[in-house]
Amino acid sequence: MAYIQGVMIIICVNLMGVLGVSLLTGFTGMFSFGHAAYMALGAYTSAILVGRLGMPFVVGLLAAAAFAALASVIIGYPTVRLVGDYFAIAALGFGEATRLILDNGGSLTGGARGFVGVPKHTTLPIAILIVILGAILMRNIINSRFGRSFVAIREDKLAAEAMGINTARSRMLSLAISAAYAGVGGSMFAHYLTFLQPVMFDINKSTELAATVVFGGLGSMTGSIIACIILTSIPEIFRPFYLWRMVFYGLALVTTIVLRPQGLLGSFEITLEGTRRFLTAPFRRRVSAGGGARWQS
Amino acid sequence: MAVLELSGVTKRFGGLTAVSDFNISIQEGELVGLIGPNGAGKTTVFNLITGMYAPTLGSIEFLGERIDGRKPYEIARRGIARTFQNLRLFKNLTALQNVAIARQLECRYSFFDAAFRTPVFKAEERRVLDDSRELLELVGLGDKAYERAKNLPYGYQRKLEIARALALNPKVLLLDEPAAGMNPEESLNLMDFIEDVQEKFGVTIFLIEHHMEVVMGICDRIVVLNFGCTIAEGTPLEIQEHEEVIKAYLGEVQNDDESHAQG
Repeated sequence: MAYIQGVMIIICVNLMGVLGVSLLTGFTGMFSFGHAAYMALGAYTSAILVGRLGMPFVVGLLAAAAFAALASVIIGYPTVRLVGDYFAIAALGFGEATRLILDNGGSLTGGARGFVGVPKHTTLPIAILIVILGAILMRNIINSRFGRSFVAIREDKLAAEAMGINTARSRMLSLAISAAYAGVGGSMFAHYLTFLQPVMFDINKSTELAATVVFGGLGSMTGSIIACIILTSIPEIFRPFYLWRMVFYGLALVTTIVLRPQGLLGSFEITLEGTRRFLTAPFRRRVSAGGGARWQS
Repeated sequence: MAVLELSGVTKRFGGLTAVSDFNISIQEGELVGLIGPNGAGKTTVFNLITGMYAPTLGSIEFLGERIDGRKPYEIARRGIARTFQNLRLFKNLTALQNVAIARQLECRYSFFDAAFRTPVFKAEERRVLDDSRELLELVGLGDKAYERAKNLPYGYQRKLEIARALALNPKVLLLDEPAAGMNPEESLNLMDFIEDVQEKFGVTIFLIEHHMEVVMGICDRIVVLNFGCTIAEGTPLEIQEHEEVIKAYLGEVQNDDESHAQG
């Protein structure tokens, strides 16, 4: 039972990172292969504040979000103007640099040997609560003028600029939000595992986040969420097969790329309204087939 | 007072002078046409006005204020909207979203309002979407609000792009070849549409067009560019008779080898 709970907490941790990357990549059209670094910054910030300075967990979470966002603004300022692949490369460089800095952080970060003794605070209910809150806030942002600006930039940056959108600023905002989400994920991770090592946040972790978003479908938040649940569970479900489990992970990814290049959901979103319609559709049809009143479809 | 005034505007790309010493003064409510053979520098003039390029020399004034060197989004916010020669719609978004993106410039709710869906957010969002729907209705795309832009027929996409530009509530509307790719009948429809738009929205229009029947039919005044230089300016009638213009479009009669006969 503790094992399943553990897997579910890791899913929640990954979900925070994936929600962030989904906003940046799926909605704003910027690829990043360095988001594990924001998770790392969040994890270490929280570990130091809560573990060393004895602050409450909530402060750790908020500080993790704030510090990751701050770092993203510093990195973003010179790089958000870069187009396409160049931004992804800059992000990748930042990711690796962050890992190396943490590796050499001396007594503050514990260096490559790791950071021991982070207090355990992340329980499953808390993790689920944070993810639900995060998902709702994310949905609200996407369905606002901010979200529309992001999508406009993804669709056509020049046209977005001509429609009065300050594209550099919008891209920066999207990056900062996504970094904050990754930071919170990092903090949750630190207070679940109670032990941190820079190698946990290497380029593999960044790639995993980006791959999950592509797997779920660019431009679909619900797709990203489903993809994250599937891709985090697969290696665990196939753990009895030990060495083969990553093969299944790869297989799932490759199969999607071949059979559904647009990702699981494409840009489709599963919404409460849509689900209600889908579930009530058979009843509506029966009513109208019976020659009775026609219901609104 | 002139709404838009370009004085001595020159744009060089390396050794190529795309636009040379361009002058124009557009009064409020005018409908001015910009014509010229391919590569004459017409779109460059639009890109200079909208801030996509900064002029090498000269000044651009909008309502008496210098706007050259400003960013495109700043110029759009001040009230100059444009369409593009090769349609730059937000293709995967619905017609309504396309218009709402331009329309939302006027809403001022904060990030906090958006994240927590405060009453301010809800009221402003409703206003943006209502205004956008109304605008689509006005241009005759009311029943296409929820269609993705890329699935609309070509003529509707052209209209949608104009609607999107109008959503910025501009004082000046720049139309870059609105009739491109249209047959004569569609072009004539578009002509009516543009006149209609000017009447309903009271905008000043500056348009680039190749279809002579469109330009001659609706413009108050026409400027002719050739190789970056203004070769004529006047009413449609004057332009039709203008020797230089005929030369630029049809080539010189006496000296066929050196003619610049183009489109």
